[in-house]
Amino acid sequence: MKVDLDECIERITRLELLDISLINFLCESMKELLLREPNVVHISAPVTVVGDVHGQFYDVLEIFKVGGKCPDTNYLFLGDFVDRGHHSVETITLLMCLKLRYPDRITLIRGNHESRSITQMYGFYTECLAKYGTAQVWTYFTDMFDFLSIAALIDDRIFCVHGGIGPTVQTVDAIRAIDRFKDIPTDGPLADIMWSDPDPVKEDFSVSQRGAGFTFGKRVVNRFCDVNAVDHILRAHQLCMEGYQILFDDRLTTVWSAPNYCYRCGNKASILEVGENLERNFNIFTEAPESKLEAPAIPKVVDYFL
Amino acid sequence: MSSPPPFRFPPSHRGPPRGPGQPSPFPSGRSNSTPADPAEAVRLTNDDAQFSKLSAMRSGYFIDDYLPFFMQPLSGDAGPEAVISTAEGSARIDPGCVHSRLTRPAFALRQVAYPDRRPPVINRGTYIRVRLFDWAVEAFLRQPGVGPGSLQVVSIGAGFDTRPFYLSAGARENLRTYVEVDFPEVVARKMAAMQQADHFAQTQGLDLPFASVYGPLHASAADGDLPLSLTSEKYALVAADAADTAALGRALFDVARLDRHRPTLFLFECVMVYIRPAAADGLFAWLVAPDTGFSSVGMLLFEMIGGGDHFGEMMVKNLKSRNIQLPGLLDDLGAHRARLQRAGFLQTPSRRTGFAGFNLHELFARVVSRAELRRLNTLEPLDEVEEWALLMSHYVMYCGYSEAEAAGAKSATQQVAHPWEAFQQRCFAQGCLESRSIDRAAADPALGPIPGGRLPDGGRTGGRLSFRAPSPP
Repeated sequence: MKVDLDECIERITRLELLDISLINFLCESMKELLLREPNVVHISAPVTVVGDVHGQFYDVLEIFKVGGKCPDTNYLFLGDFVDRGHHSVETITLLMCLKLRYPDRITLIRGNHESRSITQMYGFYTECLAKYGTAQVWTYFTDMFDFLSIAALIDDRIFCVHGGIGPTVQTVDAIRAIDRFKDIPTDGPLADIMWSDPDPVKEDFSVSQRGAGFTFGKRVVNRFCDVNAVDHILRAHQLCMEGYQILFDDRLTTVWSAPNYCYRCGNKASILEVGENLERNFNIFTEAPESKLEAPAIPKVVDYFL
Repeated sequence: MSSPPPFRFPPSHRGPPRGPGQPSPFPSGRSNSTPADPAEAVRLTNDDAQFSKLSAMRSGYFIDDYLPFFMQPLSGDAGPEAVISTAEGSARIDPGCVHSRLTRPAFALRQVAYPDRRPPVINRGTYIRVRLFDWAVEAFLRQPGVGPGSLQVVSIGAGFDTRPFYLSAGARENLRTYVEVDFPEVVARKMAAMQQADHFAQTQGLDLPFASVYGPLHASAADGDLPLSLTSEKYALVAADAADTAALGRALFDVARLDRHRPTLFLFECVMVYIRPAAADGLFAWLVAPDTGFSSVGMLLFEMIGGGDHFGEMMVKNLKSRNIQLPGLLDDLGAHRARLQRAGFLQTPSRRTGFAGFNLHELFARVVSRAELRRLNTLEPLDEVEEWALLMSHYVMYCGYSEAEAAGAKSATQQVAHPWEAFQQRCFAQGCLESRSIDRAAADPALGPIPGGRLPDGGRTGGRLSFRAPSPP
């Protein structure tokens, strides 16, 4: 099957859905590509790091306006591409096409929402069903998610992961040793790096309110950086009202890239531009005008209690 | 007294058929239509609440045996021609069909993915809202030391609420009357659904699901000043606009025959926010008006607050785009308390009054027991803790009471003044929501008694998640 990726990218940018057989082919190609990528991807600076986008497609387009088009700018996406927003399908389709088109210019690592169980609860499954009339597309995507890398290192100095670290994952080598080609389990090292959160008031590990992963404190972060010879930890996973948050004396940053999350939280978003010398610069943005005006293709309730 | 046997449709039927040309009373399709008429939009918030409750139930948060009677099958037509006739116990389950509840016990609804599933944040919030009101009404009705048939409950803007039908036997014994009030359009739809269910059951020779709770139900059409109503011995469903105290008075005193000297609990479950502030003030003042008001009245109120922040602004904007106005929206608990004071409900010289309120975020942490929280965490992971905190802290629930001083409180049974203060404390007691704390009237004999809120896993749930319980806050 001969596929023109540029045409796919152009079509999906206009929110024209690609048909099912094409999605199947692209997911299969993506799996082949990802199979060759290690658990921990090595990236060279400069690169722009993007946190959770959660299906907010217009805001993803805004990211490319604000940060520069791919491949002119290198990108690292920290996972959570789907669920919650109205356009998870378009979002993951676009990112997948960009990865296939420019494999060395964009890196996608896995978030806790790239999982079968979570996507059934948080909207991606429902959206696939609504937009394609069948759950088959969801199956293609979630099968592909199993192949995504799970961490990244920028110039061997900045460690990037979706959630954080856990008691069973104290070294980057431990992450390299994980068998990643499966759905995210509810506990164990893979769950920990997808679900954990920093806790600014604690020193060590503690149980997480989310019901999976752990919270980790200052001592854990310092030890991780020392043992693994990294300067900084970059992660996403947690909503930041200002778009980002820096903790532990500038040793850990949370990047959050979904503005006005769920169309109701009223938060800002940011992308983190890591320069050639590893200098970090936050580019803060708010929701795209189209996000405000849009009438979603599938009428969707912005949920409150009424 | 024993609770009535649970109502069961025989396996081959999918629910009451509708007569030709009869409009369906059920919420139609997705709940997210945007009607042009703001009044209609407010009435449709009932449908939104129904879908939220259905989603919470299907996710395993609680059981509401009567909810399916008010929902039409999501997959489309369920007329008699769509009847599935199969061998006993092997009925095909259409995943979209709510009425599969009637062919299989409640666990058939425990599905992981289906259209209209609400996000876990909404399921969990719906759970706490429904269960806290359940708990409070039970706590009020099952007070020690009250005579049978002495207490009254009034639910304003009740919508398709099913609470009066699943009250425990002990609660119903102390109940004098349970009144539900809503707009004529909503009351008409609710009456139709109830009557259809009972009528169909009758044609099948089965127990009537609604009439079996409080006795035969008598419908009265609207006639001059007398509103549309459905009444029985201890229950009344009456049409009235709560903003019109004259109409409300007719509904409560003429139709439902309330006794204004009996202790009465008013439930305002997300309703006053849709009413103009002046009318709301008028209603609260009317409740405690000397000579015409209630001598011993309490209230439980739940609704959103503005919070004075961006989230509140976004909420107002988002709801406005669905044509839902919030004229009565207040900023915080303090504003609510102040309103009750202005109306003379609180801190009035001749009355003993009290007020206790929380936002839902702190309330959830307070009232959910550890065991129950562990159970909730096995249902769904709460991924966005920050979003949960944001959303829930923009809702409040409070209990207020106002009682004429003991000397003036005429009580037909010559009781001492009701312990409203004890009720208020019990309402929001630490860890009061246990899995077993509320007796459900309808236990399924095939499964054995089901503790409130727990669903047995019949092996059909398809991949239950189990997450570790978080440490208590």
